[in-house]
Amino acid sequence: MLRIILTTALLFFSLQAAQFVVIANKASKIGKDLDANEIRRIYLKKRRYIDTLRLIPLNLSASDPLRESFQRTIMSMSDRQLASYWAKQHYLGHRPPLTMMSVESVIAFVREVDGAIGYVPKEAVDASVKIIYEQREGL
Amino acid sequence: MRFAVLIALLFHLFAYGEEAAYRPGEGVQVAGLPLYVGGYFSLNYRQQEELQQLSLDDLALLAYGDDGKFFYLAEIEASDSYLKNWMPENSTNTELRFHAERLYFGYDFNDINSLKIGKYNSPIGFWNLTPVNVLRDTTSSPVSTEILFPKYTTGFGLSHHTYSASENSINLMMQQTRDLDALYNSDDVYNNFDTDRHYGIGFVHTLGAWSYQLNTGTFHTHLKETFFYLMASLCYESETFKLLSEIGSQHDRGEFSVPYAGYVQGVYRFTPQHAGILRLEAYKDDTRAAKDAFSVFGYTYRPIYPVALKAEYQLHSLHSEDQFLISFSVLF
Repeated sequence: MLRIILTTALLFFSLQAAQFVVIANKASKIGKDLDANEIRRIYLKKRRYIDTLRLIPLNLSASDPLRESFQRTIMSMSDRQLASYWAKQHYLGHRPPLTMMSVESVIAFVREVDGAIGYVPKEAVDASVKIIYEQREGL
Repeated sequence: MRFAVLIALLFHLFAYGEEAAYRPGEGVQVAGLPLYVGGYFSLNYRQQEELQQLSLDDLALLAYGDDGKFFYLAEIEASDSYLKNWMPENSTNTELRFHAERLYFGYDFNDINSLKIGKYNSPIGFWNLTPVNVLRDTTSSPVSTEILFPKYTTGFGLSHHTYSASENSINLMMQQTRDLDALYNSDDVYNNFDTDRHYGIGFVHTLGAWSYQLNTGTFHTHLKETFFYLMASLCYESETFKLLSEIGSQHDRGEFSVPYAGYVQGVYRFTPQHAGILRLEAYKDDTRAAKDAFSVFGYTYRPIYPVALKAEYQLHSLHSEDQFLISFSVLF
């Protein structure tokens, strides 16, 4: 009985574990004071600077489940809303975030480029980058 | 011949564009430069009591980019480059005549303040910032966006944005010269008013799904007319429903030239691809001795967002103006 309770509790808490973390270059000015709303503004390119540092948000490919999770929890926008937004921005002369093909390429880009931010699974983060935001899903 | 050159140019740019995976509606990067190109077109069919017409409209090429805090955009457009009439008379006209629709460069001082210099969409109301067929809700545009204010301004544009729980913007337009397009097309300037002066200010407030805007200004035309305009706009948008309303008036030295022009429009998205639109419009234009109230019933299908197939029927108080419109438009 105790084993069942412990297994259930372990399963419950593992489901509440962070789905993704947002990372930045370790030496950059980007700190942990960014909340979900600010990260959303960065990914909509409404916020493009922190002081004089130009921000470069990175997306994973459209088929990546992590992007779907990020889009749902941080952007709070459907595929249609984002497609509409970026089509209008293209007409107005603005580009969407860069799309990277893998988590490894996001980490490599963030490591090399000051101002770059991206979202990756927490277990993929190494000492070369810093976590600036952690998302938890569930309750 | 010029049409063939344009298609060849577009093909070259898309074939040798830098981005590995092209996504429709986002353009392509050119040769690793801070330069992106794209464009759009629309094919429209219109039927009225005494008019039946097919036209290739909005054929445009745009290029833009940014380098540090500097940004730039150029757009050329050929309107009605192909016109086929069955009524009132059978005729076909093909003319590829390009106009400078937009051409500006600018500087972002920071997230809050930016300046642009050149010819740009007048930031008036919600409809006018993205006026092209593929981006708007219906094939037709509300009459208020055609008769109240200049759709384009050539001069300086200052923008100030603040962000907190709400978003607020102030936009200033300053023009003290003739429309940029007049340099090449002095007898056919690409603007609804051939202006040589325009000063305007706009205030935008956004809180959640609601946005409100107030615009006022004055402009002077090449024909020595001076007008003042005032317009209020409101927008509510959720995933399934959008409400848009704009109303304004225009004065000509103390007398109304357009006592009122406005509309209320609702868009309901049955699915992400299918939407129904109802728009109610009314206007009185004393400069043309015209007055009308009408309903627009529209349907839009977007298999993907940058591709739009639309149909609409307009029911006017002047029944001779009743019309049926269908269009196919693409943003690339």
